[in-house]
Formats: sequence, C-alpha cells, structure tokens
Amino acid sequence: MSAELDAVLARLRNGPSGTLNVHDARPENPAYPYVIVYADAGIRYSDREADVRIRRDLTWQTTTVGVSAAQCRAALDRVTDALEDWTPVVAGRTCTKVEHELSRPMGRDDSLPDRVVFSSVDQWSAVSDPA
Amino acid sequence: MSDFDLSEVQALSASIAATTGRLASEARSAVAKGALNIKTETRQNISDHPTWKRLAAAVNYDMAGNAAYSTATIGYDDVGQGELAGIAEFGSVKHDPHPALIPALKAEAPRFEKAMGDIASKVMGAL
Repeated sequence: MSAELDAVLARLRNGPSGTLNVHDARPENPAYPYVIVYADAGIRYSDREADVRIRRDLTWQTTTVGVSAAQCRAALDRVTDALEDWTPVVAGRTCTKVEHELSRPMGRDDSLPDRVVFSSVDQWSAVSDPA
Repeated sequence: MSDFDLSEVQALSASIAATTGRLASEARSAVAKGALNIKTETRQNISDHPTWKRLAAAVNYDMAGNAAYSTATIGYDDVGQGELAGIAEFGSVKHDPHPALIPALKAEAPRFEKAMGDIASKVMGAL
C-alpha cells in the first residue's frame, strides 16, 4: 500500500483545485484546514487459479478539518476534486479509478478544549494489480 | 385437433413452486446466520480501551422480509454508548478511527456468498 498511499498523499497535496495540508496521522499543531489520511495495509488476494495473491484491495479514510463550516467545506471540495474520477499512477502497478465509498455529513466537533472545529469523514477504495 | 401431454410441465411447475418456498426459508436462515456472524465479529473488533467498554453491547441486528425476500440491518443501537459509535468507527479530531463494523461485513461477505451459492445449488438440484 505504501506506494499507492504516497500517490494518494501527493495527489491531495497538489490536487486540481489547489493545495492542502495533508497528514498521514493526527497532527499535533496543525495549520487549518487540513486532511488526515488513515490508510490500512490493503488486503492482498488472488484472482488466479494458482492462488497467486497479487491483487490488492486498498481502502482509506480522509478526515477533513476546518475552523469553520465554510473552510471545511472548501477543503472537502478539494479532496473530492482530487480523488474522484482519478486513477493513482504507481510504478509497476495498475490501479483502478478511486471509488468514493462513503461520505458522512460535515459536523461540528466540540472535543478540543480551546476551539470548535468542523470535520467531515469520507472513505475511499481502489484496486491495485501488477502492471 | 392435437393432444398435448402437459403432465411433465405441470410436474415441473409444482416442483418449482415447492422449491421456491424452500429457497426463501433457507435464504432467510443464511441471512440470519450472516448477520449474527457480523454482529459477533464487530463486537470482537471494537477497541478494548476502557473508554469503549459499553459499546460492544450496543451492536445488534434486525431481520425483516417476507416469503419473497429477507434482509438484515446490522449496526449500533442508538442508546447509551451506541450514540457515540460514529466517533469510535470514524474518529474525531481527538480520536483516531477504529473501524469495527465494515471490516466484519467484509470478512463475512465471501462466507455469505458461498452459503447462498450452496443453497441455490441444493434447491436447483432438487428440481
């Protein structure tokens, strides 16, 4: 997943609608708005009779955070513009277009002691095969 | 005027009607078993952090349907700690996500597909 994840992170950082602050773990002192990409290892499986496990299902979550609803929504637009209808390009692999699996409504998050933020969760997937 | 022997067609019709009833019944059992497996695995997947100690009990499923179809709705009861399930599953600005329900669903999917295939084979074989 690491090569595909790098492609996703790079795409989010410099997408077609602008740049984003992107992290692959919860940041300590973030600049707003920002996006966290939570990615799993991907599950490798076989579509061959000989059970050669080379195809990989990739899934990841983006959590988009802003200090206002408008800021969060604008950042979320950049996220969806970057990932929807996009195919990750990874050396040695062929990926499917990214699927937008889930999009939760943006919500106010009061859990921080010193500020109110707004966040939105989206989940994505793609399938990666050897080129 | 010609005479046609339709007895075999009528027998097939009766057989299809009988097996359709069996199919619905067996499919309902498979759906219920799949839902139970997802519920059980979701409960196992939930974080064992003391913060979430009452969340597992909120995972349940409801069955619905009739003679023609069966469905199961699996998720968190919207009571007690179940109201916070969204934070547990998807995280917040303070908490990382800890998916429990979707991984359980994905793990069950191939077993459920096989169970349904076995039922279809069995019922079709009885025709």
